Amino acid sequence: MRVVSFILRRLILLIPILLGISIVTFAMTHVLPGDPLYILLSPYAKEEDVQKRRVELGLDQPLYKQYIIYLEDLLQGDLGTAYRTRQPVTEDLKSRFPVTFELTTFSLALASLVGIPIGVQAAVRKDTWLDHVTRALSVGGVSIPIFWTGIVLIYILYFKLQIAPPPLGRLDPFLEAPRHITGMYIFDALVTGNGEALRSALEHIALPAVTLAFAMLAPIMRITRNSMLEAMNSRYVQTALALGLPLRKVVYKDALRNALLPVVTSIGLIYGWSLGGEVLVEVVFSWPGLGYYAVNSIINMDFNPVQGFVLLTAVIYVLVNLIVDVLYTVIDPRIRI
Amino acid sequence: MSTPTLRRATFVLALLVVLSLGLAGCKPKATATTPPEVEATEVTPPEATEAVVPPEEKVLTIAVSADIAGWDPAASIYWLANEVIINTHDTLVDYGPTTDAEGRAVRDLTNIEGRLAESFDVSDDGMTFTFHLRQGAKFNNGDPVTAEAVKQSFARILEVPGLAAFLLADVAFVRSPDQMVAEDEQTLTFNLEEPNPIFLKVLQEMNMVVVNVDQIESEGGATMEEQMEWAANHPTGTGPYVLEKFEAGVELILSANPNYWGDAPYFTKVIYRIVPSPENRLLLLKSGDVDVVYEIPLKDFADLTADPDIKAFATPTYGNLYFLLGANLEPWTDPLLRQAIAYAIPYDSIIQNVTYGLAAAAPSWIPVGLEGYKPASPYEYDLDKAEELLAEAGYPNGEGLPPITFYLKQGVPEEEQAIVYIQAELAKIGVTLNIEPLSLAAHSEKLASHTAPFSFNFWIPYVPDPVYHLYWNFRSADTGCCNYLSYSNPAMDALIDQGLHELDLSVRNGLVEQAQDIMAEDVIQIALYHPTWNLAMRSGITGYSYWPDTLLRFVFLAEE
Repeated sequence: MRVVSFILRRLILLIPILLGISIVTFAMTHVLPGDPLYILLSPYAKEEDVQKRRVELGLDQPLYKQYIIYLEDLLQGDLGTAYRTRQPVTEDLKSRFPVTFELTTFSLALASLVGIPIGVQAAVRKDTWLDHVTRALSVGGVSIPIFWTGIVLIYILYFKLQIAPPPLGRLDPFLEAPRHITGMYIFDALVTGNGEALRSALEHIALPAVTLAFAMLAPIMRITRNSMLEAMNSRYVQTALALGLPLRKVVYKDALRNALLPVVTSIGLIYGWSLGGEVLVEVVFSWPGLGYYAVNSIINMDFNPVQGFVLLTAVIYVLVNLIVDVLYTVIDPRIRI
Repeated sequence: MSTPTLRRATFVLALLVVLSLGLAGCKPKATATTPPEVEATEVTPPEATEAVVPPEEKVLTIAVSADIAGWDPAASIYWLANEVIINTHDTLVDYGPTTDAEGRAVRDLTNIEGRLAESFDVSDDGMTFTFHLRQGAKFNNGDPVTAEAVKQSFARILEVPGLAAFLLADVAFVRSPDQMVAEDEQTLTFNLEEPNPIFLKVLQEMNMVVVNVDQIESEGGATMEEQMEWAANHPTGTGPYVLEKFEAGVELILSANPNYWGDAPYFTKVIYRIVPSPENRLLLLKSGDVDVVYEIPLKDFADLTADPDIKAFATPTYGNLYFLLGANLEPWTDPLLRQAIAYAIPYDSIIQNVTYGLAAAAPSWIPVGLEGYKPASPYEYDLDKAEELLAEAGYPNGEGLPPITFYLKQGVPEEEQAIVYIQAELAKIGVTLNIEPLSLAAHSEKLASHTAPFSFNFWIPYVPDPVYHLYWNFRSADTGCCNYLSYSNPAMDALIDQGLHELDLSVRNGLVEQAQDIMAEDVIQIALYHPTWNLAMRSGITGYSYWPDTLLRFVFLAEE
């Protein structure tokens, strides 16, 4: 019960947070230089037309009035219309979020499944070749620009060896998308038992996921290793080993469990940050996610998509942190919330 | 199993192997148990079949950089949206085919043919235009194309604020729906109040396509705003293609219009795939996964022409990249100073080094190739001349001149590089130029409010006509496009106003020549070059021709 009330309290806290964020983004997008009307109506537009359109869109109103109108629409779940494409922002975000969510989740799972065991081993076998390789990998993951990893993978696996599918989004051309349930193709295909779509979706997500996972791997491995090193040097582990308990059991049952908190925290941070869209990966793999959408909107001073995107990102961040906090209690029963 | 299927299966397998190795390999002292291959084969879908394309479909796939939404012809301004519009709608008239001096397929600006109108008559006074519509032409929902429907379509253009309304009212002189008369089912007459030498050229412009107003009004909603919202997402034209599917950020599919009045196009489907990365667009073209690619990075163009599987086209446009020379800012109001800058620009090395030779010199203020063009510009790269002019203006070696603030639009590599070349040359004559980068929106606003005295602008006339070009660039205006320095010269205004009505071509060309001489003196802006319009396609595709609006017409394309 305590957990439920904790979650509820945190969700209620979301309201002032969102209100604050909406005020800040609204003010920032409207105060930044650049008038969207010139982009909306083309540079050739006559001044009368620009003014007429400004009135129609309510952009001639004082800023606080515009904000109140925006807030009223927001409460009804309406994030406005993108000026540039005349598409409702809510629909745009709805169709793009699952795309980013799928890729990020897949990549993070990949990075965690690979990164945590390697990090543990690097700590256990400190200063062996494995530790050095891990270090090299981490440095690579942090320092190699993510789009470059993507371009190299595409060049080798698609263009030269022709084993990867073309970097053209999420499915083979002409393949019907699986029936829409969540918008995440892998999940939808699994649920509807659509084997062909599942195969195609897995093929297409492989390269972007590996690219993204490579960048995520570095912090996960490093933090796991450092945290494990500390645990391995602690007295309870030394005692357990001195008592002759098997190394494997000590490492995974005692040390890892204690070392996991910072790892979970950092995974949560990476997750929250990546769910805002990985622009570079999305651009390189033609992945129609949130990041590319947001960047395009910012370039064109399209207020509504930018505001909607920031609000969505904020909600995600808060939720991910909430989940991480709840997970703490699972990992370490001493933590009370 | 066909080879690609096998390859793909191998790929999934390899991926799973890597995954399982990644996991298995890390267990402490892992005594490898099951060989990972066995694990993997179990997971591979048993029947991995290739996606099936119906054999009768001929598909053309195009990789483009960005979203394509918004297909209301009266409101559209985005180039890719315009291409969708011109392929799903028809203009009444169009330019006939020809080849240029280099043998490239282009359009003949002097030969205007019927398109949705089978033929047309022009009165001798240039004020009455009668169009005979094609028998049996239908909108894509099956409604017949009547003279009344066409009239309504033009009436709608006048109601939607934007470039199209302006073109129709102020350039074509159709200011009210009353000027259009449906004589009978197939005949529509435009009665102008003034003679207009470029009326037909304006009607060829892509915003002037015919839409189905009945459908927009019945399905779009009650208010104008709702109808515009609907029309932006539902092309209602008569063109060779209809919109089959649009998934924002992913793809757009056009399919052949069964109600099309002309011959059915060879390609039954045209698929735009959004591929933001330019490197990938080229890789996809080279591998044959897409057929056409636009926006080729200039540095990669030569590389593509060497590939036997690919045809690359670079056609000179009527557009130009011009440098605004601060004519509305002291002390640059002195023409001598602007002339000095014009002599300090390294035109040739910009064309060679910035555009890799893929641009043509622009020796006048009228695009090369338009009627009345003459190489009027005396300006070439000559630093001695520039220094002399500075001294004459009272600023020897640039002493006493305030530094120039140049507003740079971010994200266009050619513009970013060109200004650095110019900056270096200006430094040699003692003129300091500081570059201030701006976002696209901020830059547009600065230009439109005439507060960017020094900047670049790229301009391509949608109506390829010299007087139209002069009208936008040099006619007195305090705000808006494209006389961005509020240039005002009564002599120039008189030439332009006369040119807009002058039917006699030789007189008109004389006016255009005079205007160029005025600009050679006043030099409020100077063109750096005419860019080429570049695209590349698989070498099997035939029928490409360049239109002045740069848009590709798929109905003329076929495959060998």
